[in-house]
Order: sequence, then C-alpha cells, then structure tokens
Amino acid sequence: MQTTAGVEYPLPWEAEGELYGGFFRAMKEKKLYARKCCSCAAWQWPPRPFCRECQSTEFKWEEVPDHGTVYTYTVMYRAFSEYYTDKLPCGVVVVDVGPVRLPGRFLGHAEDIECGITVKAEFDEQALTGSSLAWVAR
Amino acid sequence: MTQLKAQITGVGETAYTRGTDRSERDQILDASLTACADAGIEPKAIDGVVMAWKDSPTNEDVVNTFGIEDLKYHAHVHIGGASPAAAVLQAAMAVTTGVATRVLVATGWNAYSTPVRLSSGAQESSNVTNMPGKEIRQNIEYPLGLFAPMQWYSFHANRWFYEYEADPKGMETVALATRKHANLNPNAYMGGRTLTSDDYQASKYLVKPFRLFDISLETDGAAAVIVSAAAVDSESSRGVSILSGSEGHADAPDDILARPDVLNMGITKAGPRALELAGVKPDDFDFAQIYDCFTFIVLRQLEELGFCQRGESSDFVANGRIELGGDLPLNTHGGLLSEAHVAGMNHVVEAVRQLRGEAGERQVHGAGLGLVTGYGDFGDGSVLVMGR
Repeated sequence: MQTTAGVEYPLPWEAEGELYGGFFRAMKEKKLYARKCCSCAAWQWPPRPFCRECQSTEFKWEEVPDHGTVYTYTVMYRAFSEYYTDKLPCGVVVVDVGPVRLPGRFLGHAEDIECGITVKAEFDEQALTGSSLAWVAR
Repeated sequence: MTQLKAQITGVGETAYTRGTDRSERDQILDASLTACADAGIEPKAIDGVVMAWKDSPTNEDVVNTFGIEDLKYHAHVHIGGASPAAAVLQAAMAVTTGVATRVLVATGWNAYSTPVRLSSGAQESSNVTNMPGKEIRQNIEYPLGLFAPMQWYSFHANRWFYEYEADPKGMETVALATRKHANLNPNAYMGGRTLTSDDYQASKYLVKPFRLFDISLETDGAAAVIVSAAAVDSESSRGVSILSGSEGHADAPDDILARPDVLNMGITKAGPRALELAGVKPDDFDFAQIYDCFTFIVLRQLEELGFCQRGESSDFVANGRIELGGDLPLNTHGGLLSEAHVAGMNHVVEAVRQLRGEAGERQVHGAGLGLVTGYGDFGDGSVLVMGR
C-alpha cells in the first residue's frame, strides 16, 4: 500500500522485479509495454520466466497499442478487499490491444460495460502511482 | 488403454454444518473412518492414500490414525475442486496395476469456520498465494481487487453470454433443481430450506452475472471414498465400478484473463476423453453429478461434455430434464450449491449411493450409469464414468 493524497492504492508485490518491472515502470510513464521473446518474437503476457513457444529465457519489452476492444469483464457489487469497498459497483475489463490482452479498471459506469466496446488506456493517479492500469470507453 | 479394474467399496461423510470446533484434519479423518466402516474393512487394511486438494491430514496422519502397517502408495492432487475425481482416477490406476489394493481418497473443507472466508470483503493478497500463478495474482489481480472465484469465473460467464447469446434463465433452473434435490437429502445443509423462483430473482447480485443463489455454499465438512481392486472385497455387492476417468487442463491453466479462448476449459478436453474410454455417449447416463461451484459452470460443462451445443444449455436443462424424474437428474444430493462445499468429494459419494440404490427419497430409479465431474482452480477438469 502506498499513500498518495490520502488514498492507499493496492500495489503489486513485485513492481520492480524482473517479470513485471518493465510493465509497471512504463505504466508510470503513460506507456503500455508487454514482453516479447528475443529468440522467436512471440509476445508474452502475462510475463513468465520461459517462452512457451521456444523455451527461451531472453525477453525484451515493447510498446503495445493503448487502445483496443473489451474481450470480457466483471462488475463487482461486493468488494473483496478494503480499498474497493467504497467504489462499488466497479468494473474490470480485459482489453484486447492486438498482441496481448491487458486487464484494468474500467473508469465510468461499470454497468455500461459490454464485450466488444472500444476502450483507451487512461493513466489516472492510481495508474501513475504504479497500482494498476485503467481504461475508459472511447 | 488398459481397462480400469477398480471399484468404490466404501463412502463416508461428516455432517455438513456452518460452525465446527473440529479441524479440517480431524473432519477428513472422521469421514475416512466412516468410509472404512461402510466398506466393511478394518482401517488398517488401507494400503494407499490419495489426498485430494488438502495437505492435511498427511499420509503420515492416516497411517498413525488407521494403524496401517504397510502403506504402499500415496499422492496429493492439487487442482482445487477437480482434485477429488482426479484423485479417484489415480487410486483406480494404483489398484488396477497392483501397486496398492485399497486406497483412501479424501478431502474436506472448513470453508465457513475459517479466519477469512472466500466471500469475505477483507481479503489480503497473501490469501491467494496457495493458488497457481501466484505472480499473476499478486501483481495484476490483487491491485485490481480480484481475489475470489466468483470474480474469476465471471469473466468466463460474461464472454459466454456475449459470444453465444446464452440465456441466463438456465442459471436459475440449476439453482432451483438442485435445491429441490437437497430438500430430499437429510445431510444437505439446505435440506430444510426451499428456494423459489421469486427468492432467486430477489437475491442480490454479488458479481455480475452471479446472484447469491448462483454461488456455492460455505460450509464445514469432509467426505471420503475407498477405491479397491476389483478382485478384493468382491463379497461386497455394494461396490460400484469405475469405468473410466480423465483429467484435462485449460490453455494458460493459471490465467483466465489472458486465456486465448476463455470458453475452452479442462472439461473441454477431459469430457470427450472419459466418455470415449468408457465407450459411452451422453445419452447413456442415468444421472450426472456436475461440479457446481457456480450455476453457470454446470451449464458450461454440459455443453463441453456434449449434452448440447455451446449456448444451448439453458434450453437443455429446462422443463425438468435435470430434476428427479427427468432424463438427466443432476446433482441429486444438492451439490455444492445446496448440500455442502466439499470440493466435489460429495459428488463422488452421491454417485456411489445412486448406483447402489441407497439414495432414499432422491433415488434415481434404475440408476446404472453415472457421470461425475470435478472443476478446479482456473479451469482444471476431471471426469469419472461409474457403473453398477
């Protein structure tokens, strides 16, 4: 947890680690990065130690589009952790940006979410703090 | 494949409650002793142990409790609610090959009497570290507030509704039918509580598209079965045969959100495999005990098992087909939705009771062939085909 303007955002455990560091550092600079295998060029998300296509362990971070379509989603009417208890209903969308699918918070009315809608990354304070990505309808 | 030569010769369950002063270990050992008594064997006659899902009791605990002098085989299966059916398959393979003769398969869950229930609003990211894919849980899902199975499964459900225009009415049908069955089962936690369509429709959404009654119970209890080589204990006419079994795993098995096709799950692969190995078709089954952590996942499994096409399961379950007296009585004990959440071990127990003709008021008349599924973690699947 990190306090910014009195709000404690839930933070990833390994924001600086080898697997996720590239993603979270880029997010704080308003960019979306995913991993690409240096050996066979397969995209990899979520990050894992080995490439499932060629078993290489060498990866680089490359930028992916900051917009895409909602593949699927959830809308929560119950929070399962303290941070979200006063933010209900809240939605999480899984966004197909082309090479990979990236999940994030949906900013806007959660009940308006549908599969197939077009969304764009929004680098709100929670994203820039390094907590999690957010998306808004375009 | 070599034909399995294995029978389930004993079953045991604890009472299913909300509130207990007994540890999961003691509950599981208690259900295991009941299963030995049901099989008509001394506990020390057990020479194999497969623990389904839970790590406690250990095989050492079973040896010490039962007075086992020569444990020949043990294993742990860790695929959540797919563990019990998969563990029965392991036990069946062990007794078929002669590695062991009588294998205990057991699990239990004090899901209610636990410090932090799965439905709790006070989860910590440390709660999920016992799941596969812990880096995904800790780095992506935890900051998004994703902790609970009802959240993970909703991503699958919402895509299904979109892609196949499935009718959500089927979820209510499953909830009401299985509750009716539980009302005939004295050991069901919801045995004395009816559920009407009005009750269902009035229940609140916890996570779209799941209402309260679409979500399995949090109860305390344990269940166990004894898997024996077909050649032993044959004096027991109550043994039921394990005709085939299978296990299957989803693509990206620890990650629902990035799965290439979220509708492809372990049962997609395991279902047809088990039926082919047994040489049976969906129409052949007299009943089905389908893993029901959520109403919708029952519908999805029926589709992937081949009972109907994708998107058609709501029609399939309509008009009483899955109720007692229908073509395919489903979860005749009430399932995880209305009997108890014992990770599906109770589905195996109920299949045995039905095939023995010992299911009392909820007996499926002439039950000769039964289907059991398990479903766990992020989409692991397991299947058993069982017969008299």
